Amino acid sequence: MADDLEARARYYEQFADDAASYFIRTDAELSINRRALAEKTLAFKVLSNLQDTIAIGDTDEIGRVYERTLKRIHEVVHVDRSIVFLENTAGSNIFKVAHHLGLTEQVAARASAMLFEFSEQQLGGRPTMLVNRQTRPTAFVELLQQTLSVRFFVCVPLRSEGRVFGYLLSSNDKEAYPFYPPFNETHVETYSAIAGFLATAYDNMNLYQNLREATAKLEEYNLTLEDRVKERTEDLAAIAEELREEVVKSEELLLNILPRQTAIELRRTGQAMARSFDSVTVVFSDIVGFSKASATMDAAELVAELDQIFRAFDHIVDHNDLEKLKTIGDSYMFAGGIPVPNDTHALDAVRACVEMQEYLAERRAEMERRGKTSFQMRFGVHTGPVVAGVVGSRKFAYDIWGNTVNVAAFLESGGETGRINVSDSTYELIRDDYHATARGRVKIKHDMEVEMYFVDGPVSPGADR
Amino acid sequence: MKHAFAAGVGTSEAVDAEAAGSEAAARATEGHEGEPTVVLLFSTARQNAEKLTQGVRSVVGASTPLFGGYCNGVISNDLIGYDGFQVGVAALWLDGVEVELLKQEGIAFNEAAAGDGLGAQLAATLGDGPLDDTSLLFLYDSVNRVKGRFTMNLATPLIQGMNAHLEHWPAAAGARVMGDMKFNPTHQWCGTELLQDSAVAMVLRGDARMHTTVMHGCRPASAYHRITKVDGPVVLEVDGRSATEWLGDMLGAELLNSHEQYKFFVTFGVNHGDPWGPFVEDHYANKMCVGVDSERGGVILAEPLDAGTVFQLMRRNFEPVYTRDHAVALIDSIEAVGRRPVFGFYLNCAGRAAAYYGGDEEEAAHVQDAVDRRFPLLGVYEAGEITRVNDEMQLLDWTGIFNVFSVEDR
Repeated sequence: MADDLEARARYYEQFADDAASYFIRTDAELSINRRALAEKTLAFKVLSNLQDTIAIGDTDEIGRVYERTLKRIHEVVHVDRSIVFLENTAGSNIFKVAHHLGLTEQVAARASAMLFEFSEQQLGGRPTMLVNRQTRPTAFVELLQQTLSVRFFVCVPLRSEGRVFGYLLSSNDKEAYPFYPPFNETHVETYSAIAGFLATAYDNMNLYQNLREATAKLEEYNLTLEDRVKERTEDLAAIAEELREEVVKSEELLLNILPRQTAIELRRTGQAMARSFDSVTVVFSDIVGFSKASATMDAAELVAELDQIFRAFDHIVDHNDLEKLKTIGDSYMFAGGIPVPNDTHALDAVRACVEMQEYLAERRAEMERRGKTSFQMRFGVHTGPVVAGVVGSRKFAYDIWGNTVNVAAFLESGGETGRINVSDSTYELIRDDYHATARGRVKIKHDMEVEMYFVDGPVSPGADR
Repeated sequence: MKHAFAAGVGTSEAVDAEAAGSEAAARATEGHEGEPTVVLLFSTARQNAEKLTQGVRSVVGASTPLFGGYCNGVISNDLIGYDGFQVGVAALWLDGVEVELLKQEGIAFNEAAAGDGLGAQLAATLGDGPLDDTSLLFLYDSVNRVKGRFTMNLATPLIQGMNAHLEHWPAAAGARVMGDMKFNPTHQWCGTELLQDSAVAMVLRGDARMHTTVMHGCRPASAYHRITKVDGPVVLEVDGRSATEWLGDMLGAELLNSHEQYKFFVTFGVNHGDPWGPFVEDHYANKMCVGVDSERGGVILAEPLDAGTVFQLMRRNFEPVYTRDHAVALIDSIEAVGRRPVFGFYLNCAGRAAAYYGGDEEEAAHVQDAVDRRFPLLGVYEAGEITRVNDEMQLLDWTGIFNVFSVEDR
């Protein structure tokens, strides 16, 4: 009985021990596998955390991204120290410590003053470094261990467009299961994934920077363009103003030599149509004794006196709604009823002649007071049909043609000094307003006779207006 | 009505120690008036202890007594954090509860002597009367760097030293604390002092009670075996055979070849109850294997066991929901006797953190779930749990000790 119980006890003891062996081994392997799986998910945890905390725009400040990444690595992977190396000069193998977490102030100060050559030879032909208790340290690894106070570490490159612009390194001081498992190839994969994120952030930063620079250039260009447009606009405005002034001058000049309506027509169409007028009063005036005076007077003085008189005549013509046609030597020719026909052209013309006579009388009195020579004039006035228009393309002038013009010229030459000699056709139009002395029929040429009158003066001053 | 026991818990993970201290203390005291009676303060070794103290004192005042130490991590109603910059503060306002803080320095030189000193102080404080109204929390610095390299201060001689003065223990829970898994030097807070190499104790006496449940997470898996030769914490022989040979036969030779990965899965459990009776978790004291002495064929335990000790290999429970069942049962039992839980204090082995044991979930989350914010919870991850097992004070490994303070529910 006792033997049987002892055998049973041994059986159950062995049974229990076998079960313990199986369960404990299985539990341990399961746990170790879970831990390995957890190690493989570290990168996802870090990257997921970074995705949550770093907005796309934040990559504008790449330094902040590096620092947040190091912090997340420490929180998730539980390493002792982490460093971001960045190239000292673009395209070189020389790198410097740019960001770090976990270094003492003394080590950080020393590290920041150093440059590290990550050449292919230094790295032993591998792009990454894995340093644990099982690996044999190279001279470069020993240099990093001594200068940066890193013992066991993993180090992976940061690449952009195939170029290594930095390195990411994390280290632990200890290797001890289960708290500090040695760095292994899983960690290399983890850090390579994180490095990919940083490289993307770096590329984004460059893109943002390029975009910002391009935007700044565009804004600068826009400003320059606006300045140029403004300058050009001002130039154009100045030119337009000059042009406008020239146009005004030109129009004024044109109006000086042409009637307004004719000038407008000429400007619009490039030509002025000749037009017939049934009733126009044409006046010729001529200075008596001008040729004789020109032989004795100073030429400049003579011209000045002539200019003075004709300016006064211009004024008289304008305010009597008459059209000055031209001056020929000492002769001054104007007409009424052109280019806009009216019913008062004869009265207007005679009134102008009277005012011219009055002006000349005053002028003559003044010149005599100054001991100077002055002039008297003859006026010939005739009313009849004419053709008026502009001919030629250069130095054009508004002129009139027809027998009326010739008759008016003959009336002037057939008149007397200081008298206004009008034809009967004119007389008929002014007789109610002006007194006149009939001269009878006077032969002018080719046996042509014209009934002539000398205007004596208005019936009553201003009565014709 | 003035409460006999009011508590507030605050945490912080700020990198700046002073900011972390003030932040955690401000959260702990939020909604309460007046300076707390005592403040529990725990922090990882990443924080500067002096600056952390300044930060806490900027909130709780210069004279409020502090009690606590460095730890591996912090648990609260809504935080489970370790290996980072975690700081945990529990502010306690006590009415009708006397608080006595005790310290014993010099544990790094002699654990037994330190235990003797602390035990003497405790005996003087506790007196000869009944201990029903008394609760004891104590911590000791486990990091010993007196000889340069790290060695761990052992709990067993400390407890033996205390046992020499204490015929009976009150409701008690303690921990072997360290500030990180790199065994950096640690600090302890006691009153207004910042200490190192110390054992510190807080005695509460009065209307408050502390209730404790032990959550091993291990069950016996093997038959009983006997330790036949030891050298300190190194078990040299089991059943008269080399300990490593015995373990190789039990678990396979490859385990010994890669013991670095497997060692923490080997746990010796000592049953202080009926060896042939049903499994009672609170009767077991577990000692975890922390290494192999290849030269002598020995298995190194976290705490020594005497030659002649009968033990079983223990199997871990990888379904940590059991902690919820234990915690709920404890809370229910408190309420069942007409008392009201007011503060939870959880001492949890750092090796039980999911990142270290390879788990899918944090076991402490189930304790949070059990508490369900009904009262403030502060927990710490540490390196060894101490409580009464079958009326004997024992250091336990891979264990969670959940303590709930209660007051009479008037």
